[in-house]
Amino acid sequence: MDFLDAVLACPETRTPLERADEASLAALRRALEAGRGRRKDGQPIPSFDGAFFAQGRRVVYLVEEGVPNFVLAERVELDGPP
Amino acid sequence: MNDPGAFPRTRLRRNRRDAWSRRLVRENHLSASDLVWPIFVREGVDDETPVAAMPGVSRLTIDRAARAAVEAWSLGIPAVALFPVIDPALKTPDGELATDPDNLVCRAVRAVKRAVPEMGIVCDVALDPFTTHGQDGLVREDYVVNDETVDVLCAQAVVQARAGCDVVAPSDMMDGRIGRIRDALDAAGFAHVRILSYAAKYASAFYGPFRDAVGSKANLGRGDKRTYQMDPANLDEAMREVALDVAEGADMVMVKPGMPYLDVIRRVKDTFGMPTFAYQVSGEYTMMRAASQQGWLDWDRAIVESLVAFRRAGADAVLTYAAVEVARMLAAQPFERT
Repeated sequence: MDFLDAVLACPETRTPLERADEASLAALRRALEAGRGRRKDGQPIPSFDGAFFAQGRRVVYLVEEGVPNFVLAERVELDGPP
Repeated sequence: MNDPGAFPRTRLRRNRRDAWSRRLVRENHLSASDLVWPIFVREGVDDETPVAAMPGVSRLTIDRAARAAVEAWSLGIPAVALFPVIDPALKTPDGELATDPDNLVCRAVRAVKRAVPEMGIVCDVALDPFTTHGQDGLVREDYVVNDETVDVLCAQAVVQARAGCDVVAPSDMMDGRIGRIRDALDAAGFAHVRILSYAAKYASAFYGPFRDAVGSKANLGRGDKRTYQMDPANLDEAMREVALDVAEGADMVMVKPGMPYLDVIRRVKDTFGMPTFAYQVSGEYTMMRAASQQGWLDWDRAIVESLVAFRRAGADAVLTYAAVEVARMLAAQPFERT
């Protein structure tokens, strides 16, 4: 297991995160294309190359240019699991 | 101090006999909370380059630096200090890149802040990573000029604060820069950004490996920094430096290098009662690391002992390249390390 996977936690709930695998990343992209998610601060969702799921896969912390983004205001919130 | 009494009723070895009593009477402690981890950051993607003169230390691309910061935070390290390795082709005599809001260090700050929003980020304020001559300030007629340099440092500090830096650390040793930077930060809306002043920074030979790491050694060439950094022989002058920086608004003060200057740390702490940091510089790190690689020192014990010595001397926190390693050691075996 990648070290990050072992130590990372949702900054809001402190519960473990789930790193998106290829299938769930593809599902996330489809969900976003379908307009099922928005960034918490209302800004456009940037391009991303990975993601961490939290809170029943309704909250997503994106990995942007190799860097996970755990700024609460910049997380993506979905209407349900992708 | 209490009268230590007389032998044989008094035997100081009694308390040293067992680990439990040694722990109970230990006067100074080291924890991950006392450490700041300096990271060398370079351009590129998902890569790192070892620093030959500093075994175990690498220059990390921004993405790797951000992920490394996550690990450091998870180990209990409160803050990282970011040092940019600038492409030589981008260096200029006046180091204009230092005030570019999209320069390497500002991008690194933003990345680390995204990855670990709670972690403190420290950035040096000085021009040496950005100048072709490797000096910390502007050079006019072969002399590093003070006041004109301070103007640039103010702009550099504001740019770093705007990127998300929590602590600006002027390491340049120009006169009067702390007050000017404080005013500049406040005027730009960054009253909360702290200043860690490299208040007693000596013109030391122990910086050599660092200059290799950031690529400023070739730029500096045979030049030196003795017209602005302190004479290693001086202690009273260090007190005057610290007094000025405290008066100008420094939130924390630093002594650099560390281990050869423990007397300075102690006197600063006793005199001012300020949050006092020490920088275990590259030369100190490399000496212990190289000796360990030869089998002449026990690295784990030597590095922890050296850091405990900083604490004993009065340092509240220590910048050390071994921060992550030591934090791992302390997590695995927090009690009887030295």
